[in-house]
Amino acid sequence: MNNNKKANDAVDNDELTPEQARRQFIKKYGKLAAVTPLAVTALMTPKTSAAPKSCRPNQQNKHCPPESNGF
Amino acid sequence: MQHIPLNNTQLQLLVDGEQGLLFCHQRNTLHKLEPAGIALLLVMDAGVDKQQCIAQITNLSRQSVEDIESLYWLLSGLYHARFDADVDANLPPSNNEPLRQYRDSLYFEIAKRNAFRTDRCLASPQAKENCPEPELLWIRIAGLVFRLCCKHQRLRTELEQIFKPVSFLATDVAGCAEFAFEIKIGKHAPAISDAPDSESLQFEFYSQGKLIATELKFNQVAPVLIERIQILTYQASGFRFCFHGAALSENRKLLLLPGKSGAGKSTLTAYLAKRGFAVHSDEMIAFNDKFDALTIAMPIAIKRGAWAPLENEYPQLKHQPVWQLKDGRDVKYVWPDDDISQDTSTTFYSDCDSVYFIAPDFTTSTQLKSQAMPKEPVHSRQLTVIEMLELLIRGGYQVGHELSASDVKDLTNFMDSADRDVLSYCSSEQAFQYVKKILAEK
Repeated sequence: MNNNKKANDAVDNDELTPEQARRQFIKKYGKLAAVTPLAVTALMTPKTSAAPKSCRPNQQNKHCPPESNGF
Repeated sequence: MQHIPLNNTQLQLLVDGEQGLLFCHQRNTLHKLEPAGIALLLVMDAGVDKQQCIAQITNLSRQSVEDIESLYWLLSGLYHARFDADVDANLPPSNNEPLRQYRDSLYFEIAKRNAFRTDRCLASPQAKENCPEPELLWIRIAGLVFRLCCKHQRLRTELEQIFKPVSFLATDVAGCAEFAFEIKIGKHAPAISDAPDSESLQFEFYSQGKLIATELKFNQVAPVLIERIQILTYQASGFRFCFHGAALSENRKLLLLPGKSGAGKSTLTAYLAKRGFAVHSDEMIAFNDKFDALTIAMPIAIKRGAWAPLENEYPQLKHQPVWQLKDGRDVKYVWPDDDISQDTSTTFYSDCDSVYFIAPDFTTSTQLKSQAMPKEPVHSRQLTVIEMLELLIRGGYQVGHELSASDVKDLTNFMDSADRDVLSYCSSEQAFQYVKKILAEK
């Protein structure tokens, strides 16, 4: 996790109380929000969990037609 | 990954650099949060009211109040476990739809098998009666026996060739199978089933007596059959997670090639198979509870564009029949090693010391030249755990049971301990050299 170590260092302080740590997290991520998308992305849900197939609907694959249901 | 404790015990927040993962216990769902979402969630969790939440994050982020308010409503739905929040799969909410569970997406054959613990000898006996022995093909994969009835002689002969390394005599498997398939000629087909123009026939595919695919052309049957076998094999294995991709190993090192279809996984797998790598699966990366990868002994599907580049490794490609995937792509099937019988026992590969996720991103040299920005022929980029997890999920995934906090924790820990790269390349040899170098470094 070398890429992320730096990002987490700002709030990696054992001497902080949980409340202080929380405030620091809010400040850090709040400021980062100025240059990052405002999104919540569903990764795993019962609706999206399905047998992986070569072509699935809405996969946005150049080889798969959009209407493909992959059986 | 860093765990951030929340007052709301129904949620679990992990952060990885600038992004976060939020697991919701009540919904059994996992979400990715960007920095604004993390900050907003933490303010919300401190018991601050809506107006103050929005004001505080608007102030810090300099984003518009409207945008932060929209985000607030999304997160509020997750925070209070409201099932009408439209964050499930980024789809519009449907109030009439019953709540789905992960187990709902298991194939009906598996659900039935789990419910009744059917003895393999009892699986669809009627199919056995309807099909005399010469018209049957017995296939054993990962300890499971599949019985295929196909009365069309030419098709059966072609399928026998494809499955030769995993085919058995009925006596070898005591005439019993877990899964019974039947390929029938469609009702509106010409009367003479073995007419020279087999290509004009339409076929129907039945599993355990139930019709699952219809209007299949002759050259579409094998891909459908192979996909069904692969999926049933991992679903019957007691898997914890499955992702779309290939799994290989060499010298106790597990190499996983995940990604969307068309990224170059199968071609690279076939190439590496001729350079000392054992192929565990060409299509499905299925993990058990210990994150051992399941071995599914099946032929590799080589798409048309890779036939010529792989001709040296697989001279038999020249003479293989052409099959067609439902999306229209032409494929030929080859076994990594034609000379040996495949291991057909139940096997999870547990013998590895290190794991490498390498997501192939094959670009033809023509495509490379046409790109506006010059790019190195071989280029790799290290991915965070969340980036790789998202890539895995976008390629296609399935969870074997209701997702739990420990599933998420174990999966992220497993991925955290692995190497994670996306690899852009123009030839399989370039990718092989990169893989060799990476694997030798540890």
